[in-house]
Amino acid sequence: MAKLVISRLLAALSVLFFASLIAFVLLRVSPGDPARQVLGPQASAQAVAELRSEMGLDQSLPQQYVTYVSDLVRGDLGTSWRTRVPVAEELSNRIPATIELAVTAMLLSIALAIPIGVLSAGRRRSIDRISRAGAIIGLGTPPFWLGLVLILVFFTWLGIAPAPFGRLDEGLAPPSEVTGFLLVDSLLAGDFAVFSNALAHLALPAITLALPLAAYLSRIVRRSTIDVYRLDYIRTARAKGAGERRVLFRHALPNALLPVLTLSTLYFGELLAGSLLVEAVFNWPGIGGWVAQSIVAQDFAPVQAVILMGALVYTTLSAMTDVLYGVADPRIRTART
Amino acid sequence: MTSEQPERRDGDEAAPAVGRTLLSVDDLRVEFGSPQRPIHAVRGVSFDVRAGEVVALVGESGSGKTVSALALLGLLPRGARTTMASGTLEGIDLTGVGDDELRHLRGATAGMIFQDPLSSLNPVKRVGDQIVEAIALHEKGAGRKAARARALELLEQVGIPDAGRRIDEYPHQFSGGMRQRAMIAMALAAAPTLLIADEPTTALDVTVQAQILELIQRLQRDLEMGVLLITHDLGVVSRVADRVIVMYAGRIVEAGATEEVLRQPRHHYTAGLLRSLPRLDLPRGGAPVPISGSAPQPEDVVPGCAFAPRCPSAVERCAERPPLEPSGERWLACWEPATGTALDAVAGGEADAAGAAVVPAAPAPAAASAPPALAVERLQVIYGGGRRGLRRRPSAGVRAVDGVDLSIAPGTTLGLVGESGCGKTTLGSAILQLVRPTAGTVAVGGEQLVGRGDKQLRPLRRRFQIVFQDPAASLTPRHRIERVLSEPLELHGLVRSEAERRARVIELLELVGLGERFADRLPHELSGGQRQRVGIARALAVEPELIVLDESVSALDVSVQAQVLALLERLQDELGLAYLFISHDLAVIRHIADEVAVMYLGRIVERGPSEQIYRAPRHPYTAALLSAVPVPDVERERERERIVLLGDPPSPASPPGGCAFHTRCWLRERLGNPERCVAERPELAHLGGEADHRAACHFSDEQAAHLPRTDAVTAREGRAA
Amino acid sequence: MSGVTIDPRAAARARGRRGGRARAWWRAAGDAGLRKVLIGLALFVAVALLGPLLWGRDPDQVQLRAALLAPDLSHPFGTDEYGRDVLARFLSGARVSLLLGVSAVLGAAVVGLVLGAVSGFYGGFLDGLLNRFLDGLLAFPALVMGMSLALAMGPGALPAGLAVAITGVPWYARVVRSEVLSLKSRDFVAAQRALGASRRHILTRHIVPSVLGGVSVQASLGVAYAVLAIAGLGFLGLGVQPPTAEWGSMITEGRSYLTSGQWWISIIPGFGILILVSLSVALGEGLRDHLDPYGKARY
Repeated sequence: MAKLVISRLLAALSVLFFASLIAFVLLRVSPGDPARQVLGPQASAQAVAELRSEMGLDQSLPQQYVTYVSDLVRGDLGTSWRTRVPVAEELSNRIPATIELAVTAMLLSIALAIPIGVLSAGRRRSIDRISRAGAIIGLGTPPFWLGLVLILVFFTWLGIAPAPFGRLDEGLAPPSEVTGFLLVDSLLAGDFAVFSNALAHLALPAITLALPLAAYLSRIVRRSTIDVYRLDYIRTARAKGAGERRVLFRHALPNALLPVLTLSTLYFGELLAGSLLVEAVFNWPGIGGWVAQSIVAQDFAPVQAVILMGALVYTTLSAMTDVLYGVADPRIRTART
Repeated sequence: MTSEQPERRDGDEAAPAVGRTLLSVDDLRVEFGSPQRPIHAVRGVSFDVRAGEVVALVGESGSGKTVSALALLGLLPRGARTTMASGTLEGIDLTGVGDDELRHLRGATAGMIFQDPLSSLNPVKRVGDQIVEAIALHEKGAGRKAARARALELLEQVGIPDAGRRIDEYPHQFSGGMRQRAMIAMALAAAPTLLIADEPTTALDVTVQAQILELIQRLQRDLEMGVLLITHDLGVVSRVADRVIVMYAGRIVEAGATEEVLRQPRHHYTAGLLRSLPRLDLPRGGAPVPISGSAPQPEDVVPGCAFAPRCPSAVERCAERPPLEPSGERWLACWEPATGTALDAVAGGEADAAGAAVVPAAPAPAAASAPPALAVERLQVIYGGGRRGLRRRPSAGVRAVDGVDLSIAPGTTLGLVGESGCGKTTLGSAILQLVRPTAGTVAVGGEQLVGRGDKQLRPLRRRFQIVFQDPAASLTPRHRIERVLSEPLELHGLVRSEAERRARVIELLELVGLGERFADRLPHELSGGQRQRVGIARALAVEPELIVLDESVSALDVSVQAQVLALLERLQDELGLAYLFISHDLAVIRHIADEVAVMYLGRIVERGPSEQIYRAPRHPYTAALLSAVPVPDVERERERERIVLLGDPPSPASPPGGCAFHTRCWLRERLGNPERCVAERPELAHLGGEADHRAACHFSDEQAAHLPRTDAVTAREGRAA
Repeated sequence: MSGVTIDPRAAARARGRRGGRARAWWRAAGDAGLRKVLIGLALFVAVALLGPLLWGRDPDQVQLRAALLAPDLSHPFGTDEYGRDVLARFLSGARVSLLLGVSAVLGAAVVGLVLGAVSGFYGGFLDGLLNRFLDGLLAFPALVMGMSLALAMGPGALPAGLAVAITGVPWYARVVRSEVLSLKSRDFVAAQRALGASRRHILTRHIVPSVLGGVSVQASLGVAYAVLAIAGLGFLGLGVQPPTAEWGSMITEGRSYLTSGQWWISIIPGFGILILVSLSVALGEGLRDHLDPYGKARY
């Protein structure tokens, strides 16, 4: 087990290394000159050259990479030239909003996908047909567009959803910050008005983000449940007199949900990427809008930081999944090597 | 059929009296598929099982024997339609039973064990918990502690050593035999009166099979259970069953006391099955006689006797279905019953049938001067050796093959026999240079193979070929048979023109008994036996001198197996091929091999002329193997005193020191556990007086005195001769 | 290792496989599922390629007097803020999405197939290195890669398509590699080696043809993913640039009119994406069932 953890950590580190390399190379092959971008077209060639040397751009590429990585290791993600705010600071301000949205969407989609998937793996063909059609349409729906449709229906036409601007109504004061997650913080503060308002604001973007993922996961759950039901030990369980409910919950699901675990973490990266779009639709004050603006302004540091953060989240999660998998599966847990 | 009185085992006082009827079923039918195009898995089957008896349901694949048993307990997958005229289990009517009641009958009244114990146990739950679950399901009041204590007791009862520790382990930590024991413990958890065992030993090694069969017999007697044993193996039937029911194409063709049916089969299918079985207890002359053709598919409509198209004694009346009728204590569905005994059928074997029954081939006259077809010296294959892991610790690796010497004369067959994991398949691959040996030499027809690069080896590969076990997996999917057979011809430039290629493909197909019409088929359109013939034809395409047959007939039904064996023998005679025949099946080896090598944990422990090894084995492991194989002859099975080896074969990753067999050796035990077996590894040494018979045992000379009251092998030979 | 196996289930499986495949063919050729999807896709392609010719209006023609017209007979999908015909722009957007999506996927599939097949078949050091690299690439969703490339190269169709292609490569490589690894240990490969076939021959003639099915499933799903990602980039203003009509950017352009009543500008292109992506997903699912009627393959 310890060996598994260590080997997964090493693998994660090497993936991170490649990811940082890719992110670095991508942004250094840019045709534009960042120093020129900062100073504008009127600046003198000498000023540009000075800034270049200050930014380290006159060094060789490998040297630049080393500097970049050693800054990273010290937690220095650079400074946005557009806002002059250190990237790390801005990131830590904005990240709770994004995480709150993504995690809510994740939980929502799992909560939808497991019952739908299990039901459509069952005897009733009609349920399977409907859920299959639903899944195909769910996967086909562009999330940013779905967000707009939901706004159109629930805000513009029905007027039951709050205006798609931010995480709280304007008049409301946010609770004192503990975790940065409004739902958690408002509960900690005992402020139910803020809690319900935050929930209302969260509802539409979370649904928007969750539906395609729920569609995808429900098919995975269905397939993996069907696969498990075909195995001999399910017959053994029935042969010893276990009822269908027991067969499902005690024997089939624990095995069927293992691949779901892996795939949902693999998909978390996609979820974060999707949240960039959905945040733009709902004017959510997370990292999505920030990145979009930074790209338009050719502001490198925030983009690079977000790319790396994404890779970090992805590798951490997939390493964690493997370890969890090991904990859940005795064949791996008890292996000596 | 309910009126039938089962044959009692005479003189067996330990056996409980055969009592009340546990299970009785009349006209059971099972269909799959759409009602418009139904697939008839079971076409009307009636039988019963009484307390204290073992009833065997026997048949080849597709005969409906497993489906019948699963249908009774409602364990068939969705889409199966089961009907029966009547059916009772412990007095409960199965025709009108509700789901919940049926669920309770499973486990509480009828326990079940299955073929593959690994996949039949839940991999993520502890063995003990799975047994506790089975107890708790039927004894609602039982506390967790009491249930666990009972589970422990059950594990001890089925012979799991160190059960107190094992109870908290997972299935993958158990060996194959232990898993099947655990399955049995689980099946017995709620004290059922009927045990249904579906091919319980088919996935196990022969020495482990012997243990499990003994266990089932013991438990059946101690607990006075009825046992319904589903199997394809007539040897297993004769060892444990009181009554036997023979199924063919979804119907019962013959039933009766095991001894009677096997000694004097009345149905031509039963007789044919017995004839087509390679017999461990008969010398090579008693060749298996294949049943021609193949069984009808479940989707076929069969108006008359299903066996008639393959039956040598079919008459006009067979177009009408014969009813299953009693005659004395036997039940039979045949218009023209067979006469005579199985022994006649076997020993008198129609010598002309498929040209199979030939006298053991004498080594080819040229053998003296020509180089051997295969010469292997000190061959060694170590997997995963060298430095491994983070700290680069040197590791010994797994010695899959550890210093093997072999040689095969042109035109003869060497049988290589051993249990799973002994390294026989690795040895085959290493000979073919599919796995590169770690050390040693391999020469085919005098040409040295080891040490050559891939490119140098390629032209030489013409001279030695392989036929695999699974004929489906060894053909590239979606390649037509013509392409399969053309490819080797083109690879080696054996044909110069399109017409020549086509002609050669047809010639090859005809050589293996398939016609030109097969050229355009895809592999999945052929039956198992036909696919294996294609595999053989592909090997023959390059005109090799040596063919390695790696369990090549093991996946086939007995009747088809006999056909393929006959084909192999014919090809050997016609083409002068040398065979390395790798198998776990001692009976098949006895039938086909001129010489035999027995392998245990990567080493050859005994080697010599086939008849000598079978008649007078000199290594205790060989003796135990021979003793463990059940033969389809009740009288003999009862006479025999068997050597039962304890435990499973050790892992090849950590073989015991000294003689690798010492941990399971019965002879060593009888000799008072001499230290020498642990301290010193015996070499494969010549035995005095016997031509080229070698054994790797320090005490091979003492064995004869300790062998159990043998073993009718010799006795029967007297009679057969 | 079984004896003279008369395993009824193995036989039933073998027969089931044969019957199942026949049924799958039949279903594919004559029954609802895959056939409907194929017809739908053919229609879509026809509309995308021929539509602009049949519907004569110029998608880029500005007519300020005709701005923000609700759908009627002369403009079935209405007009946008510049009075451009939304139907004409929709049709031209279909062509852009289809061509960009399909070519990105083709590129990714070919590269992924080669990398996966080579690394799976030959193994060794190269395989390890390549795997780590591809795993690293897997950490970049297409959208994020698209943003980075838009930043590096300036926004446009090329960086968007390239981003989708690059991020797609590891998915194909993974599918192919794992399938090659399992095929490699099968007896039919050993049989070829025993016959003296070269490794290249085995790889190209026996292994690669067997993985194409899996790749085609992945590619159908890949088109769906590509179309979504390209539209997403367009929505952010980082994809295909105006004035070229592209569904994602059309949705952005109509966004501000959503609350003021002119919903068609944004909503209609969304349906285009929905239809194309759903058809591709359905094709992938249908192909999967068709190639593997028992649903053994994993997502």
